[in-house]
Amino acid sequence: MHEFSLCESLVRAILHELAGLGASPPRLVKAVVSADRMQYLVPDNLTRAFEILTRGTVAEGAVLELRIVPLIGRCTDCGAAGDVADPPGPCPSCGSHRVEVRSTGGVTLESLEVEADEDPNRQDLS
Amino acid sequence: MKTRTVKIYREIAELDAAWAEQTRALAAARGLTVLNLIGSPGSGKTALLEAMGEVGDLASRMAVLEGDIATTKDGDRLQAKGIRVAQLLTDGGCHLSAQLVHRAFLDLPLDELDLVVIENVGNLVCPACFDVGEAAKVAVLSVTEGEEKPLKYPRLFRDAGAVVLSKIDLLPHLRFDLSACLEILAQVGKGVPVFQVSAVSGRGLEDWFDWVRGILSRRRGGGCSRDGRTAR
Repeated sequence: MHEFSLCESLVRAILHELAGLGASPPRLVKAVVSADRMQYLVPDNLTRAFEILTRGTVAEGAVLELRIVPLIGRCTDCGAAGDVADPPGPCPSCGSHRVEVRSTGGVTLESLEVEADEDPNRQDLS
Repeated sequence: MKTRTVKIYREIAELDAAWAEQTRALAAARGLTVLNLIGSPGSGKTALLEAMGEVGDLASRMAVLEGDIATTKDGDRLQAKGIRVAQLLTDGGCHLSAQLVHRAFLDLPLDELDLVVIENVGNLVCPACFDVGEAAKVAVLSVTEGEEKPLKYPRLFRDAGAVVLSKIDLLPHLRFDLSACLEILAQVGKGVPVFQVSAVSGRGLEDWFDWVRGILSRRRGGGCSRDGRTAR
């Protein structure tokens, strides 16, 4: 939810990173972002916000890829850990309902794919 | 077109998150405890604060940041009880933003306070997802809402430092399954303290007041963590 305000922060971070890639920032082709299910992001809303907020910037027209990463749950009775739904069901190992869920964090900007500089002296940072 | 990929791995903090940290830092510097009261519209948040306003040792050092979409009705109610209150109006926003809270915080007479209670906009969804610089979220759930509510809105009840189960005077008139609710809260909330109260009859309020007193005394001793869990 609130994908627009999240996207404001995301685009700000992306433009900041792009500006750091050279004397003039390269055009963005794709940005990969990851989040777990506890962030309750609606992909279409995020994509739409991204389209709006990148207009007129070097990120305009870029693809935004959202990867939903697994939620990790840990059984406080037997210690078993693994991917869980939200809210988690019983522990698959011992059946206990005392399964703690840990969000992997917030939203992470994982990588940026940019138009490559043809300059042979430029170092590839990837 | 030739492209290259640059690995970044940067956490995207909501723009608002920085304001929450400012409020948290200011509260810590002044020895203040900040609670974020969250519950459905009509769950009894304002009535709980009115009851706190009657308790001398709490009320004298307490201020309320009263959040609503529209009207000052709740702020007026609290003011009528002699409670220091600042009314925050979101004008359509579904939760209080950390920036709005921080601005209001700066206007409070911080030297005269130990406790700031934020009464968030009536909403079980969005306020649970936004940190406004609180030491603990307090979930207010009324018995009229049904015992399964914590399953339907797990994030709030999982993150809350305390749950107030309100309007228990109405239990004889409802088909509310109290033991089922307590079991669900124990499961979802992982042992979160639950205070069964009636603001109308006064039943159960003293235990809630004691929990607040406990938080305040631990804060004075410097022991309140960010997520409120050690504040239990």
